[in-house]
Amino acid sequence: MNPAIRTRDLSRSFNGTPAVRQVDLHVERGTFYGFLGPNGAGKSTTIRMLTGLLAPGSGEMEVLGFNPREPAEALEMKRRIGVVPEELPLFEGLTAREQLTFVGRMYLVPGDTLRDRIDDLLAMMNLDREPHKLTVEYSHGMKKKLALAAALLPDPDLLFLDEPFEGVDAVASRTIRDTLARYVKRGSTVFLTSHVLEIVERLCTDVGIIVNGELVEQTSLAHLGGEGSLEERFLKAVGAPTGDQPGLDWLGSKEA
Amino acid sequence: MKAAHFGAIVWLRWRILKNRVSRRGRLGNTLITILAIFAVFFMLSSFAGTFLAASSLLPEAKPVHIRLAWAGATGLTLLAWMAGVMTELQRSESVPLQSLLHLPSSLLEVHIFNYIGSFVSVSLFFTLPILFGFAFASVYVLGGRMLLLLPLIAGFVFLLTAVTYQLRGWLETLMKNKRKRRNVIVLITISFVLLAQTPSILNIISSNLDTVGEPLLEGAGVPTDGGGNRDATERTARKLAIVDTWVGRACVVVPFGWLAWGAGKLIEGKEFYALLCILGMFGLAALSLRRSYHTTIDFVTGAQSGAARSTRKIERTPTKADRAHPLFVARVLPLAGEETAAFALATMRNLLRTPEFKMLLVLPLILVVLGIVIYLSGADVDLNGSLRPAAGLLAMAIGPLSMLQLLQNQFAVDRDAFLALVLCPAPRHRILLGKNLAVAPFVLGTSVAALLGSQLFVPMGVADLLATLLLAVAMFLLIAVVTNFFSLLNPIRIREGSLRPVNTDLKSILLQLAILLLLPVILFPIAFPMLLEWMMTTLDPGTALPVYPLASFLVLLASLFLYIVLIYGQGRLLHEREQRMLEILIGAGG
Repeated sequence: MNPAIRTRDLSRSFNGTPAVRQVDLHVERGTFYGFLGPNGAGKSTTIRMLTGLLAPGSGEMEVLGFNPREPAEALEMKRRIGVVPEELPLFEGLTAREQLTFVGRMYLVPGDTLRDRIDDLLAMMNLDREPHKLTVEYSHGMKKKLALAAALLPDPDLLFLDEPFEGVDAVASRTIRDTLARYVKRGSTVFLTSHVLEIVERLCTDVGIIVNGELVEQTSLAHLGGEGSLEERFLKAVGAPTGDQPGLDWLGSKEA
Repeated sequence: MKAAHFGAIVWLRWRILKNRVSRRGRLGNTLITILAIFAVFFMLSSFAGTFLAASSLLPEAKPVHIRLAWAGATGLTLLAWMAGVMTELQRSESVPLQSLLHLPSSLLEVHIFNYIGSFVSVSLFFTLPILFGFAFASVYVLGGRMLLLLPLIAGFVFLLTAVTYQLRGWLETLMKNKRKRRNVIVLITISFVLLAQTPSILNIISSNLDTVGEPLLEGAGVPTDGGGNRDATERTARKLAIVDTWVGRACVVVPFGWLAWGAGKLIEGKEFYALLCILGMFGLAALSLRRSYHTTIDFVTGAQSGAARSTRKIERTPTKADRAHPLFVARVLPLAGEETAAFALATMRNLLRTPEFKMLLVLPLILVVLGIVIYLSGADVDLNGSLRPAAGLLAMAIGPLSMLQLLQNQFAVDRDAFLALVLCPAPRHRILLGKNLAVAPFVLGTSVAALLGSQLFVPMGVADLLATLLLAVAMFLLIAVVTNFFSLLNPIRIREGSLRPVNTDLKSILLQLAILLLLPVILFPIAFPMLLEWMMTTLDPGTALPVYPLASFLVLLASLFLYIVLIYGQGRLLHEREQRMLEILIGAGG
């Protein structure tokens, strides 16, 4: 069986500045893959290329065995994936139920099944208390939950999640984590970016670390276990300074 | 310390203003520098120009002229000020009081300093020199008693800024809710657009004062003679009398007009009334500031907090009974596939809740009102039989024309929705079809309403009317074909909550304008049946063939054929360009 994601020399620049440089990803099916990197490292750009939202500059990629660059294959791929990108794909003038109904119809989910799934997802995400509230009135966390519900609705084989826990409350975060863990156990794949290393450490089976557009580490967490914590490994990979920093001596001195 | 706080707030406002204009790269900065030099030159020259012009005209001017000139200057200042306030509200770059409250200053200081900081305004820079130039010229020509004009202007500016400050404070509280915020901005924009039409309507009315002015004269208590024999000078004098009476009344009723009214009283030698105006304006301004200060205190103490005000009762979740009534977005459209229907209905629902779209829907109403005013003010329509549909066809064009801005940039109105579109696994021609179907009821509805409206003034027979309705559909199809291409090839990012482009290059703007030039070509087939019938009846006046209805039907068929043939190719084009469009509409990733 094809891997869930495979890329070779995947690159992309913006106005001559490289954002992603020759990335070779390999994500097996049924894995919970954490894609880590500091701000501006190229995580979102990579996700956007893999999901067909952005054309790559060069290189090859394969998602669930489909080439997102081929128009016919791209649609087939889109039928099998769910995406929560950085910018949330929501109609501002729709309610949560309307939004999910629209998504379900676009994925040709049959009427009764669609209504049941929407009820389940709205209840799970705690979005069913104000049915007439429009997306534009939602907080960022609520929008994130709705986008995640929309991504889960068609029951995809592969989920791309860009910072899914950002702005989400603790209760919903726990529910989402449990749902995703169950989803992966069933054999599906999750490709997620997150700044919260504890979540990645708790959920992911595999991690990739991208720094300045280059994939500097790609391994399983089990393998990483013997080489210190994920945080230490991550800070080392990104070249972050450790210990007390020079400067700011005035801070706390009450002399300013 | 207090002076430092004041300096910091003024600097903050100045910096925001500077950053706003210098954000457009090196060329933009150069242009802005040139514009700034021009602005300083304009301020100095407008002061000097107004002073010189007023000095030379005032000795000969009658009191009515001077009163109207002050009313005009006041109106200009109000219009410029409103434009500035509206722009600031749209840009969300004003300094909301809440963002200053955590700083180490007392509430009163923050309130007063922020208010004084609001004087850093482009519109005041441009209009104050005119007011002061006029005032100094009045003092120079008419004597020392006109010095009271200076406190009158100060009172006017104080009133204007204080009321605006209070209004903005209230709006900012209201606009914490993003949905309300956009509605408020749109309402303000619509009010401004409507207000901006007032001069044109007044102009049309004033050019026909002889016919419509008599009732006004009677209402104003001026003796009338039915508009009989008068020479040009007398006519102009009577027009001025009407305008002066009504402007004077408006100035008394609206406190912003007290500057013009007070100036008028000064000319008549009634300084007491001018003093009353000064006191009134300062008093109202002080009350306004006091009110806004209390709003600030309420905000800080939580009396008006979002939590207290926006506590909504928890709404019940939909029950099984609710399921019996399917959602609007879940409905089936005859002949349209599942994806097309879903996309059309979701887009339509979304558009109807989008304030900027509601604003577009108001535009045809303005055009219709203007059309009626022009018609009533004496336009004499006389079309012969074959050309009678011309009025209907022209009226029908209001539909696509009023929504052209949306149609030629269809994917930009809701950028996040476009992202949803790109992620959808649906064939792209169905998405385009859905997009066109979503706007069809609005465009066609406006066209048909305008067509039926035109029937009241230039009626045509039932057969011709039905044929013209067919042409309305054909017109929409042709416009859709062309605007689809424009939307795909020239997407333009627009500011959230408005239809204004963001950082657009010259080429894109020229392309947007090109569609206006192309319109006569695009719409020629719509006029073809009428022209054909006109030619036929000219060549053979006795022809009994219903040329117009038959040709209209053929044009509809041809348009439909063209639409169906092209929609597949446009779908492929959308697929090829969607990633590039996304980069333009949402921005590049990082």
